[in-house]
Formats: sequence, structure tokens, C-alpha cells
Amino acid sequence: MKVEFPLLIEDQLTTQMKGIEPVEYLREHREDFFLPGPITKRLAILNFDSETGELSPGVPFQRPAKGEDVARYAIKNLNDLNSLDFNQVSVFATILKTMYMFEEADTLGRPLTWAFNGPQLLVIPRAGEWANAFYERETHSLQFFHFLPETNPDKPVFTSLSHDIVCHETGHAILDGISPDLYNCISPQALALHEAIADLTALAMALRSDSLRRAVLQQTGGDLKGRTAFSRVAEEFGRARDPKSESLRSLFNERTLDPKNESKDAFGKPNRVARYEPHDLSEVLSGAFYSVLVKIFESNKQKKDPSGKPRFDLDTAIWAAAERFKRMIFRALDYLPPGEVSFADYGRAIIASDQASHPDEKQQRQWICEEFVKRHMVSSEDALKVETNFAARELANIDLQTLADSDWAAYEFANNNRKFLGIPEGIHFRVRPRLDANKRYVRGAEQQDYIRELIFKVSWDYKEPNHPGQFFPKERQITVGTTLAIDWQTKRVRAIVTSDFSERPSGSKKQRKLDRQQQKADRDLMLERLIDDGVLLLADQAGGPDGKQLASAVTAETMDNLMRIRGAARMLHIIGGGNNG
Amino acid sequence: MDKLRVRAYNVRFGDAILVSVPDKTSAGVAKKRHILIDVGNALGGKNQGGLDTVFAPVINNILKELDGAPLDLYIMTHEHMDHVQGLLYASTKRQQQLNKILKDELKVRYSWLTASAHPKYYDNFPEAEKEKKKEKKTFEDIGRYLQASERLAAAGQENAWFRALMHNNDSKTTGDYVDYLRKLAPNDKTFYVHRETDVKGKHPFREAKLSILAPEEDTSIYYGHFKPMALNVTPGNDSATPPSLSAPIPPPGVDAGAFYQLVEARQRGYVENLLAIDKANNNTSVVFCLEWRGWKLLFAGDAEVRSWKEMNKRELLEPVHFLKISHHGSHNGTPAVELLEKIMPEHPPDNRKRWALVSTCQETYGGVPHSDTIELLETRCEVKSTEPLENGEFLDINFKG
Repeated sequence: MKVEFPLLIEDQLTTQMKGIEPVEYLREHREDFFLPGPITKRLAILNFDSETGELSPGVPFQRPAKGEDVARYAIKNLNDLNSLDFNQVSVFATILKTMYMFEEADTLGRPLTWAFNGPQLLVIPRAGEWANAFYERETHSLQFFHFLPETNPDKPVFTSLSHDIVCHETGHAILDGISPDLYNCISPQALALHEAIADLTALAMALRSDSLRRAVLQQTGGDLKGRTAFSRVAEEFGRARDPKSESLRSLFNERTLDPKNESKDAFGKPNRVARYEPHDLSEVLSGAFYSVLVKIFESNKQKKDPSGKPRFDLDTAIWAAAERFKRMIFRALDYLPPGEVSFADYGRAIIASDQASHPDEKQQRQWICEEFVKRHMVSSEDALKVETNFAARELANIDLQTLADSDWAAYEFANNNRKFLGIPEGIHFRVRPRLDANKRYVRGAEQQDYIRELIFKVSWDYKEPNHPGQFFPKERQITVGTTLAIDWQTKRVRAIVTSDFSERPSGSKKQRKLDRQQQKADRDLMLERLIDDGVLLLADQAGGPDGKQLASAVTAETMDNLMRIRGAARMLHIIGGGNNG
Repeated sequence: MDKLRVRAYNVRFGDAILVSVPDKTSAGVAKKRHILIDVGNALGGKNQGGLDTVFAPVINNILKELDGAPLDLYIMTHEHMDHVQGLLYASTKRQQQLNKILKDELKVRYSWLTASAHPKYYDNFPEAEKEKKKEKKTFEDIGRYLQASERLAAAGQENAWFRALMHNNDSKTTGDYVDYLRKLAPNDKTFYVHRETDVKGKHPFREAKLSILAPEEDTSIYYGHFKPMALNVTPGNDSATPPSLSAPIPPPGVDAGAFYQLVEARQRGYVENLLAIDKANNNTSVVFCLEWRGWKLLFAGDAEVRSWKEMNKRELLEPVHFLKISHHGSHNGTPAVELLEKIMPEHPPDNRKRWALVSTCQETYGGVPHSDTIELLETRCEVKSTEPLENGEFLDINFKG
């Protein structure tokens, strides 16, 4: 049985400005069941009253009418886009659609799992008054708030009515399931990666809307080298918060880590970002990828068929660019090593993922490398080199099904192949749950291959000096690791990516040492900032009067005289409030 | 040789400090002048941090020290019960028990109250007023929740803390006490002070120098964000129908464990908000420096991190010989090491002895005083605490000059 859901294409300000219908429809049948709410096994919309906390019944589920095969949710008035029941169904559909984008064979090629111990993501579309929305692992939830803009206090802005914000928060939840270590990282770049991926999720989902894509192409004449509805994240929210701005964040930017850069953007904001501010840092990464998307699109526009005519019309050119872009940036997330990662680690994961799947199409990777160097995320293209698609004797006699199923076999494999995986001798390590993915690869215009991959992750810790203050331990724990992707059929290595500086093959030894020092300095700055804001607290200070941990605290736990940070990413989503999380 | 004396009374969990300063009259004749800071204590804790019988011996001693002379300056740092309760309480008791009027015995020449205690303060500071209104609504909602959940009446340490926090921050409770303090000194000698207040003509000191480091006049900067709370409280109409709690039930198909966890987490916003209210009020503390014959004494009220950061930003922090440890020794009352280094540097600029004073009472609030904070200060100076003293007793710190 198929179920049809209406969903908002973008926030209503954007669709109004573009002159397009604000609603599109999603038809789905893949969930186990549909209940009033909407509620499925993996997703539940909860209709809490934002003032009192009372729970009201969800939107009723209507089985197909006689002679139809499509079920629907009984929204009272489909034309009232601000109504609560429409809002609930639209949020549900937007989240589900975002999940499907990540799960499809053209992206991760596997079902998503949540980072929390439970099957269901709980969603509160109207959680109360606050200019914020957030994902929170501890409560398995996405919570969307509303606020009253100073310029128009009679018209509340509901974050759950913003397609970008709903996709952004869903992106956080999905990424937390893919790379749970990022939640407890203290490297500003690791935290920024969460923000960038969330923004890029909003972008990828916007690109999937036929009417929005066509409207943007028509209004820009097919030129995306400027500020468009795609590059602007959460326009209505951003304008309501600050009438001088066009959006909450802009992906069309020249943000950089170059310490010598003195340029400013169109709004007078410096392009050089602080290395310890994750939201600003995320713009460096998302700006780089947006720029690559535009280049892929421009390249598609130039492609000719054998008769010399343009191979793609504009809409197909942007669609194809978006699909390639999505494969590059989201598929790489499964290749990301565990632990504290940098932009460079993510860059290597992208190159590995793309090189493994598109060995002959080098140009797109070259653009990625150029952006990373231009924006000072790496010192040179050498730092992004990774080896892919090769035979390894370590895998010759391995039974992959056993490796996938048995923790013991996985541990033994890692222990016997420390050098191969980059695990230092004599150090304890942890083997992560293996992933079984079935991905589709597109070669040229016609060829399609499905490749089943076993993704194997292992992590370990090292100590580094810690000096955020007198009361904190003198050393802190930093987690690093390796991801190994194995072709199930050939047992060849699809890719191997490590975040351990001493073991990484790419870049010179001297540069790796400098990178490591820089990352430590970035972490020092981040901790200083958290302490300065009164957010980072030792575990014994992070409790309320009832002894339970305060939601506004990032906890520094001490064990064996080592500091471990818990919940730094929550700081971005919740504590940093006032900016969409 | 003259000596300036700081006398700190054990009023349990609160502040009551009498500073006696050798000074001169306009004719140049030596004269001892006195500053009284706060006098109050808070409810809560199994150690009875709010034991009110301590005030009688304190007032008796202050009057004895004044020996019939007027009090030269009274300073109310901020509007919390543990800083404002004592004088009105003692006044009422003295009238009931001794038939004496405290105001007749304790004549106050000048008084300073924190700027936001001015009855019309919020008329002039719309941003602060906006924040105060939010605070008021949040506080009332929390009150209803605590009433409905019966935490205010229930036994147990954590409920005692909630009671103390509510009591300390309830403007209805503090209102009468602050009003009494507003009328301690003549109207034209009562000043509502902040960092930019020109103190010239607002105190009688001729030799000693007074300067104010905090608070900022516009207190809106001290407010954080109040998080939305989903308290599930049905408001009551009167005492016969008090507020009650409702308990949402997970709809069919929803993971029940996760659902209840979410409901509880959303309710728990009240803990954060109550602490945020407490923090905002603490940060309105008058922080002032007293300089006398080369000695520098810093009285920090209950200023918390936000206020210390503001003082640092304005480059007001410099090495002192005495620090009244803020907020009874809590971890967030003393600034981070980098800022502490500015007021109590590891290598002091002169050879004079240094002290810090903490007025506190264990187990009134969890983790206060914070042992690591006190130990850190002990590496820089001699730390004196009112805690080992008998109720109403005092300790003295003398500065020779």
C-alpha cells in the first residue's frame, strides 16, 4: 500500500518569492506500518502542546478509498499550510524523504541506524518558543521551536515549516548514526563537519525538488555562480532573525582558513573564519562543496552528444550534477575514520570514495582538491592522496561473512593486521559494528554496477597534553581510527582511510607533524572557548541540584587522570541556542 | 599603628561583613568609619544555612562596634535573601522582643544598593525589563511545577535545594527586605550604583578610596536564554484547587521508554532555568574595591563568571591583597585561572600579605563551597572561612597601615 504525503518544498517566503507552488507530494510504501501521528517504526511525530506539554492525538491515518490504492493522512484543510496537522505530516514526509536519500543504493546503499539505542526518532514539530531547532541523541529526538520576529511579532516563524531546517536537523540525526564519535569530539573541525553535512543535506534535498530546481534555473538563466535559493540556507528564518541578512547561512561563499586573507563578503563579514567557531568553520567546508557543485553543473552544461548537440538540458545538467555531488559527499561518510576527524580526513574519505567508484573521472576530485588547498583546509593536494581498489594479502584468507558477523573474528583480524590498519603496537583498540552496503555505481552514461561492500572500522586512543585550567587533568584522550572498505566479491580493498597522523600515508612526515600540532592547538582554543562560556564543566560540577546532569553542560569526565569530553556537539545544537542547531 | 579591619560574621549561608576603616574628618581629625555589607542568609540544606537566630548576635556586635556612632555606608550587593534578609528580620525581632527600633539604633549615613534595585529601574532599561518579565514568568511556571510535583514540601536534600533557590530568587519574598534597605539612609543619601556611578559625594571617606567594578547599569547582559519548559502543569485556581501534574501517555506505535525519557528531559528545563535566574541575579552584585594606605580590598558579592568576564573586558581587574570570595565559594563565583591571575597573581607585585574570605555553610547548596576553588586560592593567599565559627560569631582580618 502506498501512502501519499504533502510536504513543503521550501519555507513559504522562498516559494512565494520564486512564484512556485509551495507543496509537493511524496508517495511511499517502504515503512513497516503507518499509524496516526504520523508514526512508523522508525519515526514518530508527537503533537505536544508547546505551552503546557500536553499530548494531543496525531493526524488520523486514512486507508485508501474504495477503488484507490493510495492511503493518506486526514489533514483538515490542505490549503492551510500553517495548520498543525499539515505541519505534522509535512515534517514527517520531509524527514522520511531525507532518510531515503541517504539509504538509496546511489548513496550509502544500506539502511540507516540511529546513534541511540532504539528504533525510533521522535519528532516534536512545535516544541515551544525559541529561535532554534535541534537534534538530541539523549532523547532520541528532533525538536523544532518557533519565535516571534522583532520586525513582525504577530507572525511567528515556525522552524518546522522550513524545509531547510527540517532537512538540516535530520542530517544531524543521520550523521550521528553514521559517525557517532563526532558527538563527543572536541576538535572544532569535527564539530563543524556536523554542521556542514547538515547544511549540505538541506542543499541536496532542495535540489531534489523539481519545481524549485526549474524555478531557480529559469530565474538565474541557468547560472548558479551567485546567491540563489540553493545557496541560501533557511531564508525565512535568517531574514526574520536579521532583516539585513538573506538567510541563516550561505553556501555560496569564499570562507577560508587562510590566516592572511583579509577579504570580506557582500555583507561585510570577513571571509577568514575563527578556527574554533564550528558554525563559521562549517561554511569553509560547505562553501568548498557548493563551489564544486557549480563546477560540475557548468561542466555538464558543456557536455555534447556525438552529434555535437548539448548532452543535457539545464534541468538534467543540474540533476546529474546534484546526484554526482551527493555521491561524493554523503557516500564518503561511511569511509570516514572513527574519532576526532579533520576536514582533511573528510577530504581523504571523499577522494577515496569517489576514486573507488569513479576511477576514470578525475576532474571532480581535482576540483575538490583545489578547493581544499585554496581554502587552506590542507597545505597541498598531497595531503588528500589515498590508495583505492587494490589487492591486499591481509584479506586473502578472510571469510568476510564471519568478519561481518563475529566481533571476535573482527577483533582477531584487527589484532593480526595492526600495521595494515595503522594500529600502533601494544595499544588497546575497539572494533566497531561492521556495515554491509550494496551500492550502485554509474560508469559513463549507461553502465551501472552494484558493488557490495563490507565496511570495517577500528579505533584507538592516544593522550595529548591538556591545559584548559587548573582543575582539569593534565592529559586528554583523543580517539583516532581507520576505516577499511572491502569489495565483498573480489576481496579487494575499495579504500582504506586513517585519521592517525603517524600512520597516514598521504602528505610528508613534516607536514603531518605540523597538522597534528595545529589540530591540538585548535582543540585547545575550543576548550578555552567552552570554559570561557561557562559551558565545559567537570563531571562533579555538571549536575543540577537533583544530581542529574544539566542539559546545558558539556561534561569533562576524568578517568585514570585522563580527560574525556562528552556531548560537545550538543553544545552546538542546544546550548549555542539562538542559531539554528 | 592604625589598622583597617574586615570582620566577617558567621550568618550560616550568607554574607554579613563589617569593614572598619581609619579615616579623617573634614578637619583632619582621625576617625574610624564603618561599612556594613549585606547581612542575610538563605534557606535550605541539612545544615540549616538559613538559620535566622544568627542575626541577633550579629546586630548586637555591629551596634557595639559602632558605639552609638552612625554607620557610614551600607552596601546591598544584590537582591537575594542571603544578602538582604538580616536587617529587617532583626528589626522585627528587636521590636517584638526588646521593644527597640533598629533604625533608631543603627543610623545609616549613606547607602548603596545595586542599580537594578531602584524601584523605577526597569522603566529606563527596556531590554532588562524584557528579560525580567521573562524571568518572572519562568519563575512562576517553575513555582507551579514544584508545587504540583510536591517538591517544595517534600523531604530530601535535593528538594531543600529547590526550596532554597526558589526562596532566594522570589521577588515577592525579597521585596519587603529590599524595601527596608532602600529606606535605611536618608533618601538623598541612598544611591543605586553600577560600574559607571561617580562615587564622589556618595560616601564620607576622605582617605580611603572606593571604586565600583560591577555591575553594568543595563543588566540585560547578565541574562542567558531561558529554555522552553514543557512542565505538564495544569494551573490551579486557588488553594482549594492547586496546580496539578498531568502525565502524557505514549500513543500507539511509539517507543514508550524513549517517550517517557523525552517528556522528562523537556520538563527538566526548569532546573536549568532556575539556575539561570539565580545566576542573573548574582551577576547584578555590586563589586567594589576599597583602597587604603597601599592595601587593596576587593568585595565581590556573588558575582559569577559573566560579571567577571565583563570586568576583565573593561580591564578593571588588578592585583589585590584581599578578596571576598564570591558566591560563598561556588565554582562559578571565582573566575578562571587566567582572570584570577589578574587579581591574585601567583607572583604578587609587593610583599604584603594576602587574604581571601569565604562566608559559607556546607551542604546548603550542592558543591558549595567548591573545594578545588578554595584549594586554588590557598595556593595564592591565606583563606579565612566563617564556617568553623559558632553561629553569629565573627573573624577579623587586620590590615596595618
